[in-house]
Amino acid sequence: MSSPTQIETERLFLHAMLESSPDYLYFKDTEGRFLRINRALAAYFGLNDPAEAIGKTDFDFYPEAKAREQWQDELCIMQTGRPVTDKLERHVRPGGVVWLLSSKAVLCDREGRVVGTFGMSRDITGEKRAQQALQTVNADLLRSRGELVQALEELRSVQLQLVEAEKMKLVGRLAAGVAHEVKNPLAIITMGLEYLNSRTFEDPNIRTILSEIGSAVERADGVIRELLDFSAPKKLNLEPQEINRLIRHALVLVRGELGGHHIKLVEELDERLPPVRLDATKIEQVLVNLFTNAAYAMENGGTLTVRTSLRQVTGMGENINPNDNFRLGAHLVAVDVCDTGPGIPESMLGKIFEPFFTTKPTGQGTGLGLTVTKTIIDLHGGSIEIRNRPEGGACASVLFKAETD
Amino acid sequence: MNKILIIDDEAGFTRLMKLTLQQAGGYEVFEENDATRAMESVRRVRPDLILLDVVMPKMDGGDIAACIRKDSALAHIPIIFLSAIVSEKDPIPGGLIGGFPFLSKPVSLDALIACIRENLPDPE
Ligand SMILES: Nc1ncnc2c1ncn2[C@@H]1O[C@H](COP(=O)(O)OP(=O)(O)OP(=O)(O)O)[C@@H](O)[C@H]1O
Ligand SMILES: [Mg+2]
Repeated sequence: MSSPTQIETERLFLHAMLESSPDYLYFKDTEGRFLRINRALAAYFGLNDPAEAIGKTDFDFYPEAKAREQWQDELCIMQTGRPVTDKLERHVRPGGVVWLLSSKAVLCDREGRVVGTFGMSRDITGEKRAQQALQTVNADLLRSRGELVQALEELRSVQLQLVEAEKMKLVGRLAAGVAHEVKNPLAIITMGLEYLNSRTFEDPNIRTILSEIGSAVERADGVIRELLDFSAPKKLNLEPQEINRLIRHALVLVRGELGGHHIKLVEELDERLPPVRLDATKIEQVLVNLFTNAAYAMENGGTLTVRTSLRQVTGMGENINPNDNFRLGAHLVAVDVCDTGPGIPESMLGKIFEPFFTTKPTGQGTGLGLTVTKTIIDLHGGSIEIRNRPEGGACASVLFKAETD
Repeated sequence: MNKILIIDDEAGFTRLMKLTLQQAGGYEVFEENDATRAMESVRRVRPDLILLDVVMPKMDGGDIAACIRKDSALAHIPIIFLSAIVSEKDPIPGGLIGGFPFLSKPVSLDALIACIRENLPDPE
């Protein structure tokens, strides 16, 4: 048995706890009626004196649904003897939403008989708000990170295009410079040859020598011309064309290479396409380039699929975004050239349109195929994209504005 | 005898052009290698036809052609451009630069003489 002084000390502790704790404390009887609440809870209920709560229940202070929920908890505690700990409760109070972290337990008398419940709640609204704020900040951060990543992507692609355009300009300037420096001496040699050719010589070898020099000059001049042709801005001979007809024609031109590699050809050509204003010869060159690249990638056989379709710029999905070339709503004629080869390593995808980029062995390719292809398509106001297909192989998609728009 | 003035900064080229053209076509050929003195030469020589290089230091063929066309005493003189940096395959309609006939360097004697004949004013 406790001594009177012991009881007195316990009472003191209890009193101090009840009166000074910032947490909400209460004791209830088996009917859910308050036996005692502390000052903090009285203030929370909007009461001047904790005594005012005695005999009242949660139904007097909370909305009915809330009060019922808490009563259910208490019934459960009293039946099982098991406490509820750290339950997060959301209360809507006149001042706004309040978050409480509550623990409740059964209250027994000296004989162990259940006489009610008691509980303790801590107001964690501040922490909760901070946490929520943190979450929003976090979400905002994530979103802006996504936007940044996207902006970076866009910048990168713009930069790549700029680099490409710059390079082409450089190649053009270089070609002009080389042409000037090489063709002028060639012109002098040619004039000299012309003069000598009009003379007669006793030594018959001189004729042969002059003719050898002449063909050497022609060869050098041919190389420079090709360089100039490649870098010169081209003029197009635009006429309404049926793209399917150009495809069939280009396929005939590469028939040998397809057959040699045992490549199966699948044509999925939409026959109801509107005409497109194209330079037939140049676009056939584009198609031949794409077909030969595909054939080269399928040395040990495979399937070449050539597909045409009509699409519309929607602005979302479908890989057709409105850009400088295509306005929203525009009708586009699409040509897809897909192979079942090894595809293009991710690290090279950004380089394949660069002049002189090739993975072919020396002497087999110039690496100008796709550069020329892209230049021609750009001149047509079209677009080209080459990507790897998830099922394997590469796919080139070319888009042109349809004549109808 | 028709007088031809060649304006080109390549002295080796003009010298050989002169030799070849004099021998093959019976033309009287004059050279000018300094573009800044081109107008002086044109006024002095009064050629029947001018062969004009496009890319030259200090002044280009286009500027010189414009000066000639602005001078009423010289405006009638036919001009043929010679250029090393334009390829013939790149179609400039009718082989003309800004309305002038043009030949790409290196040029064969046959093509040169054909072009000169075509552009010389009719004798009378
Ligand atoms: N369908 C494809 N599958 C796999 N790789 C490809 C494909 N198309 C292009 N490539 C890659 O892109 C590179 C560049 O292609 P591009 O057509 O510009 O030049 P090339 O084919 O190498 O040479 P050229 O066309 O001058 O003969 C190729 O060397 C190859 O590595
Ligand atoms: Mg290629």
